[in-house]
Amino acid sequence: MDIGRHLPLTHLSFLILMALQEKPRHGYSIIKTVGKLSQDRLSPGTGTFYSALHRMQDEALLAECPAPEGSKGDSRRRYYELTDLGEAVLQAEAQRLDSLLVEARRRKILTEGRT
Amino acid sequence: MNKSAPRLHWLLRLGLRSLPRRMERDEIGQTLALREADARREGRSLLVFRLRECADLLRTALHWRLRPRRGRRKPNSPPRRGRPWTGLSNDLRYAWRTLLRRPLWTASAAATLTLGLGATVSIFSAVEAVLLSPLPYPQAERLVHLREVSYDGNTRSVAWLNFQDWKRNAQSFSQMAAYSSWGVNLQTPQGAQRLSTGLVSRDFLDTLGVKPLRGRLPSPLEYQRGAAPVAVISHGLWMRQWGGDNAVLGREIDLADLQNSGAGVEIVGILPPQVAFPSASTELWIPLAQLMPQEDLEDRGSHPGIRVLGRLDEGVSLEAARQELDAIALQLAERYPESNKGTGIFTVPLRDHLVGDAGQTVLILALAAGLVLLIACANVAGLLVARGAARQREFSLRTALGAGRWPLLRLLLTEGFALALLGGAAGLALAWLGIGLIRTQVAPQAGIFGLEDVTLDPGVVLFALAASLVSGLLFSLTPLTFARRASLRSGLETDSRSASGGTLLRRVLVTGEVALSLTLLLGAGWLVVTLQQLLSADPGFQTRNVLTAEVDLSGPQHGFAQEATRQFYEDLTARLEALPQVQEAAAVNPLPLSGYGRQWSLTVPGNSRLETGEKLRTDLFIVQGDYFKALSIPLRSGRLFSGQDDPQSPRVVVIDETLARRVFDGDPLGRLIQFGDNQFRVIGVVGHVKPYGVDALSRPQAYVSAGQRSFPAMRLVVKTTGDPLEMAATVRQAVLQQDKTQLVHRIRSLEDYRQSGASQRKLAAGLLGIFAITALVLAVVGLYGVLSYEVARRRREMGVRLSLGASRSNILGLILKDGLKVTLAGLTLGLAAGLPLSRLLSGLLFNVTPYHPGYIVSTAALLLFTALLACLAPALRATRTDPVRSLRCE
Repeated sequence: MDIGRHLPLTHLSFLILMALQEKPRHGYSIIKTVGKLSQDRLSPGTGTFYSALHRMQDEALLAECPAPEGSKGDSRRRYYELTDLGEAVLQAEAQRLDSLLVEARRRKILTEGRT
Repeated sequence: MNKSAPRLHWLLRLGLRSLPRRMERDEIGQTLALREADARREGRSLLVFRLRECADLLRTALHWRLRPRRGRRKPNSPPRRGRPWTGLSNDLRYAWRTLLRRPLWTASAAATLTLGLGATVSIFSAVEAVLLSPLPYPQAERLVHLREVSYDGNTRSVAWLNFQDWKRNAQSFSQMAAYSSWGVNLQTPQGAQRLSTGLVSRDFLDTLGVKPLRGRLPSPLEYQRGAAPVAVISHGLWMRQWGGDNAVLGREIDLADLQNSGAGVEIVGILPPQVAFPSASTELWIPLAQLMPQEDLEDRGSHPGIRVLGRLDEGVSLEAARQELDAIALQLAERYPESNKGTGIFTVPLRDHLVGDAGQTVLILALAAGLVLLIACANVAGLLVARGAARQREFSLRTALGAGRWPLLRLLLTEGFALALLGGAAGLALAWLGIGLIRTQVAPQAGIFGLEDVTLDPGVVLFALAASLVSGLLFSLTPLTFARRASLRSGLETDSRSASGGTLLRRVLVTGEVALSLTLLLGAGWLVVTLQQLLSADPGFQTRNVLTAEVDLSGPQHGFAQEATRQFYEDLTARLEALPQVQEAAAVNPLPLSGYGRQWSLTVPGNSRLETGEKLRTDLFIVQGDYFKALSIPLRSGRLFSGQDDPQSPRVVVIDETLARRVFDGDPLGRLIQFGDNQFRVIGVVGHVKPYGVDALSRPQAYVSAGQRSFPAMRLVVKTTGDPLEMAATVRQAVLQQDKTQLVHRIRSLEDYRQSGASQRKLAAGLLGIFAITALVLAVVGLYGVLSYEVARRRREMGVRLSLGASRSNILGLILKDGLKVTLAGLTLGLAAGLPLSRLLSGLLFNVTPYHPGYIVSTAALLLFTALLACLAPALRATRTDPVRSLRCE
């Protein structure tokens, strides 16, 4: 598994992976979660969003999965989940961002408590 | 789109449609609907939302269509590297294999294109050579040919004095010159040679704009009578006779005909090879005054075969020149009413004069060839449409497997391209053969100016290739339109039942083909009938078993003596008549059908139907021996010439029945007529003949005896018992026995003259016939294709009908009716379009009524019959349908 090849992730990709880390979701749900995770700062166009989704599918970061039991709504909706690679890439990206933040704090660019 | 999917705003639908199929549009559509609902709930502007989303979708679509794809490569689909043209060579190879996989289909499509292209390119090249390529003279569009025209519309050659007046008065022309075509004998160590010669006035070569290749043009002084004789020779003669030796300049040659020759004629210049005027065979140009008899140049009433060539002044239109010439003609008519009353000046651009009627023939043939190309293209289109419909399943499958629109488009285009290339190459090869044939076989016989220069014209080739490419490419795309119309699933499930795409289009195409071929058949039919009429019409004399040859005694060795000439021909005809295979031998000038004529104006002393002072133009023939018997011209009353009609006896004349009726009230025998100052007594009346061909105007005719008025150049007319051409050597021998130095040329049968008079129509009828048959075959093949396809498509329906109790004859009738409908529609259209076209042909027709219902009905019946034959095979196939099998195979 060549994780480094996928790094760094784009902002949108990172948020998509993060949204799916919790549970499998369908497209609309991913978009809503992405919006929430970015405090509504990121609201991708539907085309852009699906384009990213497909690309990440091609890169095997995520995969389609059967609808989870008990899910409401249209049973024909497509659900996506993280693959093992996706999981690993998400972690690697988070670590990469974290080490960047550590460095930023060490250099007093960022003070404790501020996000 | 999924049926349960919510209706989206058109902006969003547009964006969604633009996405590649492999992005799940349904899924995206649903998400879009949900987000739109969110926006509405949150009170955001829907317009802004939709515009933003649409733009985003379009951008995404562009990104995905141009994006290189990884991983999901399908077998048999070319590798994609993100450029629209990648995989082209793969497509080409694949297209080639596809074409080869169905050799019969490919062969018929390619052969159709080949026929269409071959015919069009060769004929259009001929058009280019005859009508469009420039004459080989500088600013040739300013060159104009001039003749005199009488009030009845007949044109004639120009009187020398009239030419002088035109030249002096016409301001519209920067230059004007006179010329006349003659033949002279060149004496060489190897024997005499007959040279086609242009007698030309002073400015002739300047007017033409010709510069000598070597040497110089004659100086103005050398154009005067009595000057030392000089000549300019053609490049061809220079090469043939002197091997291109420069030393020929200044050399003296021996031309027997020159009246004041004693000294030879000096060659002063050599013209470049492209100069072919007055005719393509002209090899020698001599100042006019050297050869033209003085008395012909001094008489305004004499028309000694002079034509006039003018060069319009810069910026002067032909119309303006015509107006000026009309005024000049009027002035001359007032000043010289005797000779010029009712005489106008006829002008025509030199190119039109040279091309003549042939231009029309060539244009009609070009039109016909164009129609054949059109039919061929329609047929190829039909074949492609049928195949496209048959491949609908294949394309649905390709689409289902993820093939995008562009690769499919490219595949189809490549196939169409390969087909067009195949047909185009074969068509060009055919055209190349056809042009070779035109140059070597047709041109020498047809006598159409410029035709011998025909070459494969790059412009024409490009045009034809473009036509085939367009028809190949355009209609090769039809499967794609079906693929869009039919949904993916139905395309995959489809069988012959629903593969109906293109049927209507093909019917329309075939209807058009039938219409076009009817048009061509009608035209060809008219021309064939014309040809029959021409060759069967009676010219008033017999052409069978008659050998003709030219003998020319003009020249100093015969001393131009009337008596010697008379004696020569008398002895010669007697010698020929003594030969066992010869029935009659005679001599005449001019020879009917040879294209030459001599007109004289006659008056009648005493009472006649002519008004006082009126002169009647007649064709005058000088005859020697049993001319009337040799050509079977019937004697109506009186007697023919006899040995007693010699120079010492009173002058006598034989006239034809037309002249007799036109001039005399009662019995013409014994009456007097007058040519110039000489009076002749009418001794006999003979039948009227058509000396310029059965379809040309003929004038009243008069014959005088060579015994009383001899002429040096005569045509021998020998009636033989067998094939006249077998006698050629014998006749030549007889002439040489009479005079060792004499030259016999133009040995041809009279029938040959008659046939060549119809040569242009023969050419037109032959080619148009070929085109019409090609068109018929193509249309019938097209019809057959449509019906065969229809039968295959409706096999299941036939099965159901048969199992429900329909009889075989019901089925037969059903299919025949189908074919008949298309054919009848085509016939109706063809009649509507074809009949007006007949007006185009009217100049070529002779004794034919284009609207004659008989021709039209029989031509249409021929087409209908052939079409029914084409329908029969598929219809019979339909009746043989096995209901059980056809139902089971679904």
